[in-house]
Amino acid sequence: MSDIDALPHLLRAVQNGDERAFARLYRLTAPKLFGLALRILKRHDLAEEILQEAFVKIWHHAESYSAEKGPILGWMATVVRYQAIDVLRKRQRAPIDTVPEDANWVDEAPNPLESAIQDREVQRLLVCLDALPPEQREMVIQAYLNGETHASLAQLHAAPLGTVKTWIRRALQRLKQCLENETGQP
Amino acid sequence: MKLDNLNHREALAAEYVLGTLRGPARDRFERMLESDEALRELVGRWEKRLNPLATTALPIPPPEQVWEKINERIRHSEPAQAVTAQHRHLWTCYQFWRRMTLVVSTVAAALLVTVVVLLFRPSSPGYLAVISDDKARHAWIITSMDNRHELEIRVLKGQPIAPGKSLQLWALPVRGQTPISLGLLPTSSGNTIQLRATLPSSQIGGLAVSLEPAGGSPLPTPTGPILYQAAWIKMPTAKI
Repeated sequence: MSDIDALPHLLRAVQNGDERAFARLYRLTAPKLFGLALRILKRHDLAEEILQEAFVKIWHHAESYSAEKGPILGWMATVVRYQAIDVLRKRQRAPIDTVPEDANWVDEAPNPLESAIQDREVQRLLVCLDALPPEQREMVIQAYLNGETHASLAQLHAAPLGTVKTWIRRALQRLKQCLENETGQP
Repeated sequence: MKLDNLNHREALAAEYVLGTLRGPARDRFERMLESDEALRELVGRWEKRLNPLATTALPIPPPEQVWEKINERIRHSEPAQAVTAQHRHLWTCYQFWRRMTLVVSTVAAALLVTVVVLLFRPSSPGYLAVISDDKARHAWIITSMDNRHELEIRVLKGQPIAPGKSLQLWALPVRGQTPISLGLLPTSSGNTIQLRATLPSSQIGGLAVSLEPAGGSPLPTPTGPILYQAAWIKMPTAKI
């Protein structure tokens, strides 16, 4: 059974309080989720704290997951992301021009061709992202993966705040339409 | 291609998931989510659309100590739902709480604990703290089932506190000296909240309340004055 295929089975066991299944779930998913947390928080200590909080939440709320919420790793990522965003909101963010300690984890916009991702859902989204105007695509990725805000995007792209807001909204509209066309599903 | 404009709710849901909805607007949206199922569904659909992007993050193995901390916290603890149901069963007796409110205004906190135990003999083991002062300006009752992480906090007597301030509850652990935050205390009379502690109730030695800026201490330890302290008392079970 491949790693991805093992997740539903493991999560069901976790819903029944199986601590060993939870340990296995952690081994399989923590690196991706830690990578995500680091991109958003840009600090190891904060990312470690968030990862801890997220997994404890996942343990306590495993029963709230159901297949209609989509792939398990994506569901787990929402726990991490919302937690990380809340941390960002509470703390003073480092200025945009601060060089992050570990620059090698900051990924440029993922290239669908280079990505070795087999998952169909990921491919669909990457195709739709690819169809966006480059600046809109970058902004969506930077917002989602790096935790950028309208204001920080405006600075990064040297664009007016109003323009950023419009572009983000337009990009989201286009993604929705593209994904509906791709799958025939909303 | 003509683009259908996202309506306002859909746009909010999308930006909530994307993360660009921030500040008071994000707080308002989260409150709306609590009672609006259709909105939760919209958020769910946007999560499904955008989440695949999360898997493109470069995997970075976290340090082993993160797992050790997680393991310690989840060990021997049950999923949250089972605990809450038991709590509600024990503490929803309206008559009991009406009597308690009268008692609080006339009796000092230490005596109050004895009164609580006498009035209501719990059939399951658990823990109890009564936080109050001799002027009974505020009074809270905090309870927990044996060795669980769930705490229930009832405001017996509440008063609004100064704007820009909050009251933060801390656990003084049995082992170790650093207080551990349990969260912010509600201050409206009659309010009840559930909190999830990061340590099981059997490891709490005592409780303390500090006065902090709104939103709580910016640090993992209290920064403001300690206003109240209370013992964490193991409740004797009833003899049948």
